[in-house]
Amino acid sequence: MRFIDKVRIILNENPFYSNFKINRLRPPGAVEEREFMRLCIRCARCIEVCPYRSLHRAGAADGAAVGTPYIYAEERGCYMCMLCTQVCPTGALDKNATAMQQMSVGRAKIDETTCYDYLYAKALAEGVGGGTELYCNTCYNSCPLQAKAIYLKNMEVPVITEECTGCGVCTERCPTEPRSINIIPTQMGGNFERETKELPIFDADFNTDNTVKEWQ
Amino acid sequence: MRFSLIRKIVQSSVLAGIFIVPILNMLEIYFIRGSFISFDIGSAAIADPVMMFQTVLTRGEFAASLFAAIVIPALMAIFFGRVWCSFFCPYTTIMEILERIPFIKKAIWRKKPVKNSRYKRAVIFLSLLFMVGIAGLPLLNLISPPSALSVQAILIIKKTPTVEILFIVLAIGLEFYSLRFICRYICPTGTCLSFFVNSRSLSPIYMGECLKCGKCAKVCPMGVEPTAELPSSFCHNCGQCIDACSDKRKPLRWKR
Repeated sequence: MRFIDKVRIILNENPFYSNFKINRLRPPGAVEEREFMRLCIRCARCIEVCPYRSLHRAGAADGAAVGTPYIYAEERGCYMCMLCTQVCPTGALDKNATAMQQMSVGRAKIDETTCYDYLYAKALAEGVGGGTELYCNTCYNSCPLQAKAIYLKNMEVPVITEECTGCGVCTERCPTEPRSINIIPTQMGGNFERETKELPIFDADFNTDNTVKEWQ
Repeated sequence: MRFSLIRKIVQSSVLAGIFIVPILNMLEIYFIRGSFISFDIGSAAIADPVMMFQTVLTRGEFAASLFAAIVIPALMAIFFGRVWCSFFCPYTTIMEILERIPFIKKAIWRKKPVKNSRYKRAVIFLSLLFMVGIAGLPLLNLISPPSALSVQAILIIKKTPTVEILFIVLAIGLEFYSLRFICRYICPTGTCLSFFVNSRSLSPIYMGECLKCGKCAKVCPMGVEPTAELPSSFCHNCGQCIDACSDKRKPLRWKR
């Protein structure tokens, strides 16, 4: 890259506004990252009201994001009580977001090579097991939008749908280490396009009627 | 004396309050909630004026709800001067508690500031505000001691204090270099409030004719010379000069 291109990028695109990292989310109802960084006044009110201690204040290592609220999905997911959206004084969190379906901060993505359920299904199909298979379904059982955001395909393996809000409860509960289900933030700018290309996450053939049929 | 008693009661209840409010919030009592950057008492929203200036700059539009939130602090400053700093600011309270220890008091008050410059303070504030606008990041509240302290109080109750607590340590360290350095020149909240202070605000005044003992100048934490500089935008109405005055004619008194 030529020097003038670097200068152009630094001056035209604010380098402070890109905070993409897997499993690190904004609170529910957060506006798009570019807008969020402009609006968040670092008052810690969302952190104060959070009854689950899901929200953490970013430290000095986070650079320009210092003081902003983050959810670290591996530590504690968001339980979507929506208290934080009601106290934000500047509108960095949308006050109109009162229901969990309105929130969309990310999408879950299952790593099929380490998920116990996928290993189990594979072992069943092949007839050979490696000893780490388990009919686990923890993510399915813990999902607040059960059978909507996540369903069990053929009653065997969990599949994420478009309705996933990215609350991160499944990531918190996932028993594998590192986690087999991860949240990819959708509004954090930066590398989201690239990340989703590398990790195809959505089952295109799925629709809600199907789930109910499979479920019954 | 009654004034300083009221002041001490308010100060200690505010200092206790910044720890009690997050505990009440954890018990799901939401009557008072928030930090000194922005808080609600019942339905009344109150915010730091610095916050409004910053968000107007970074978002590029004027939000009526934020303007409504600074009405109370602005009116308080217009009528009563910078009582925020002397009555409510937890940093002042902590410094006054620390100064009860004789050797700390001696070390901090060893060298009193010679002359305050309100232009220096305004230039620092405006350039910080300009930098906030350029970067698009409303970060000024991080360098305001009362905001930082109340935020850290919340986080201490939540058991996750962050490195910003070092700013408070730095601020106390700077006291040894120059008395109330952060308060006099850096603190954006104090600077912002002093913009609202005018000639009609509450302030001690000097009537002339006194013993010229110099006790008032010796106790002033902001380095103001009460016999010459009052009313001053650095004065935060702590009333210590009035208490220290030993002249029976009361040359220093509250403006009525």
